[in-house]
Amino acid sequence: MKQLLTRFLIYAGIVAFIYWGYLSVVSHVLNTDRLYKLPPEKTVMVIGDSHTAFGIIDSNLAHVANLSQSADVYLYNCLKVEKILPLNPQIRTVIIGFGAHDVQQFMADVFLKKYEFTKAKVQNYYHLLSASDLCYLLYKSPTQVIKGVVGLPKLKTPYVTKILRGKKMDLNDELRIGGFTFREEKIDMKKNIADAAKLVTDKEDLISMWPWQINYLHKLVDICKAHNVQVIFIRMPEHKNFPRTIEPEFQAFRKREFGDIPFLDYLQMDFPDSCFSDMDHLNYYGARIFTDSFAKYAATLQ
Amino acid sequence: MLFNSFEFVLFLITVYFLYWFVFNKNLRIQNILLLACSYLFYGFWDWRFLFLLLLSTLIDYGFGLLIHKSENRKKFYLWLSIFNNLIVLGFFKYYNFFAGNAQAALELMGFHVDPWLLNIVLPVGISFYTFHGMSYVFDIYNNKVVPTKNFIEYAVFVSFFPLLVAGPIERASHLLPQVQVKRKFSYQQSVEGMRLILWGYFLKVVIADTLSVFVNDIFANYKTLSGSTLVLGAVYFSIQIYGDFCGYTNIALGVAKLFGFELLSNFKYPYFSRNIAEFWKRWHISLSSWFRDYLYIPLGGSRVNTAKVIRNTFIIFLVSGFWHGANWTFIAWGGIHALLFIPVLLSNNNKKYTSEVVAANTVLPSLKETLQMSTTFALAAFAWIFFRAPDMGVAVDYIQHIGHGIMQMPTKRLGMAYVIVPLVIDWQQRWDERKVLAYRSTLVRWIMYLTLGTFVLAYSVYNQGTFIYFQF
Repeated sequence: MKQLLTRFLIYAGIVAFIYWGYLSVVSHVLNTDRLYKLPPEKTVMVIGDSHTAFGIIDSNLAHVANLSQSADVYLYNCLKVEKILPLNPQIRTVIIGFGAHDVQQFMADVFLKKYEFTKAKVQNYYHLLSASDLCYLLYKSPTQVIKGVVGLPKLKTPYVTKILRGKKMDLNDELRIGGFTFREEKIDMKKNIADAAKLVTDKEDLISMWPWQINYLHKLVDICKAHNVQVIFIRMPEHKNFPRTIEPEFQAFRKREFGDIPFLDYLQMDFPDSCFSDMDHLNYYGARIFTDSFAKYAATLQ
Repeated sequence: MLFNSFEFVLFLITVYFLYWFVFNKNLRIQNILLLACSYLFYGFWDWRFLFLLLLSTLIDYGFGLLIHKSENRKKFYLWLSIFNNLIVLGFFKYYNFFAGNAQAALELMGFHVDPWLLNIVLPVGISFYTFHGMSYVFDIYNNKVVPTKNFIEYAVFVSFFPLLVAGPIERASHLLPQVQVKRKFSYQQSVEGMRLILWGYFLKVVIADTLSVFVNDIFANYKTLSGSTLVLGAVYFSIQIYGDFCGYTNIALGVAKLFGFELLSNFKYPYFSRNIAEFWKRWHISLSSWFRDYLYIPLGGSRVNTAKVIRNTFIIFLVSGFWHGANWTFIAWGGIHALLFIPVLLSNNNKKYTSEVVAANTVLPSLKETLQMSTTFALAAFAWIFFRAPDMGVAVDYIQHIGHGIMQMPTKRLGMAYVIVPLVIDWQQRWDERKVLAYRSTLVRWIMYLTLGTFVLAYSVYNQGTFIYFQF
């Protein structure tokens, strides 16, 4: 029995070692600097979560690179910025998606535990994550982190071979770092009003802030400042019926913590229902209108 | 709880340690542990059906004792037991099928009826544990087995967790004596068990679940694909179902070995068969031998006139198809196999290849053997189309579409890698289905262990599909 267990443990150890070795190779290859070099004309970078990912069509804006991604908490945005800014000195402005939902404590569950977001994020950013960040995610969502890490080699191997062959990689579709995300579906008003109503049941929950996320937002601002890059916050449009129960608290928080950061507030920009995919996300039709409007402001940043 | 889930791995490790380190002193306690763990394993799926499992176990246990004790009412109790088992099976598995078909038949005759269709959940493994119980009662009736008075032992025989949900369908004469004696730890048996588990996981997680993506895609879009791709679809499904079911069986056999049990073989490299009769001696052996012993032979088997032989053959294949599920596609699958089997049987070629494996003394098969194996595989793959299709219309349409663009280069060719790899490895170990990955060279063995283990780990996150045979 002892011999069997010893041999099995040796076997499991070797398999784990091979796996870890391959993960390290994958991680090393995915960290290749050339992959993160943006075109020289891109002087403005947009980061954030689904709100900016769905709403800003950067292909319509010559000097703007939208690297936002759904469910990207500020930790992942920090990793992106830390990697991209040193390699792209032409970037002079970073626009960060910032709304009440980004700093509310109850969103921690949504971003870190539900919908397998963490599994996908670990797979997207494993090569950029520090050991302490990975441990924190492991503590918050162990199954998803394990699944994410274990699933990485199979998922990334086709891209690794492509990178090693010197091929160009798409930051959004292949590297999954971020980019404009096409959403065609239109809002189902009945369902969305009902869903939104659920959000306003307990105001105490809503006004409770999320220190971990706020900490990374501060870190994000600091990284940009360290690279002499201007930081601007942007709040994307939401449907007029979307509840804004904590607006005064959010504004007070913003002024207290980030009062020196310019705040582009498009929250109440008027859009018809057909421009939303749900209560707080624009669809492609909305994104086109919004991008046209945003282009005028973006032009001033060149 | 699926074999290919993280929960099962934790469950297995826990039960293994309890079994060998905590409850290893007393056979009775060890059996109670196995029973409790088996019920826990089953209850993970739906605890309510534990009562059905318990009821089925109690009934067959009781009838076993009654048949053994009774002098002149043996037959009556046997039929009562069969009736009970078939009622349970019929209600949960076949009620809606019969009600729906009766309605269709009556409507053809001009009667409109509205049958009371039930929203019945099919209890996982019902066909397997019902057949376990029935074989026990049959064997007592035929004086092949003496019934046990110990209910725990009998309940372990019926519900032993490795075989509870998808077999192999055990015989009391084979498994019950193993439950009744103290198991001893054997290093060699455990190593063989671990090899079977590793090979089983590879077949399931890497091969079957990956091919299922190709197969689902091809069967969903068969109208838009070329005939050559549809042929690939049938080939892929042939390997998928083999990887899925043989993979499950290997894990079951391997897990049982870890606990000191030897289960019946269920697969002996069926795709290396030289005719369809050999295929049936190598595919789902525990089910086909069950039907042979308890249905075919009581009907007269092949020791009757030709017409009855044909009738008997059709009966067992149609019943076997119907056993898989309440759908005409399964019956058609059984019927096709009967049609393929009968010429082999009538030409007395059904026992031609029973004793030895193909190319037993050579590395590669001869041209004749290659042709024989390819033909058998092609016939089996053709029949699998019916098994896989959701209904008869799709199956027939799929076959008709094969004619369109059969000479075109097929798409979805990447799946061929998942066909070739298991067949090559199987070919190297075709002499003994219970001694997989038993390469003589330590280096080769460890390279295989590590490669397969790494692949299983890499695919495990993506491929956690349920086992096809769980639905039966």
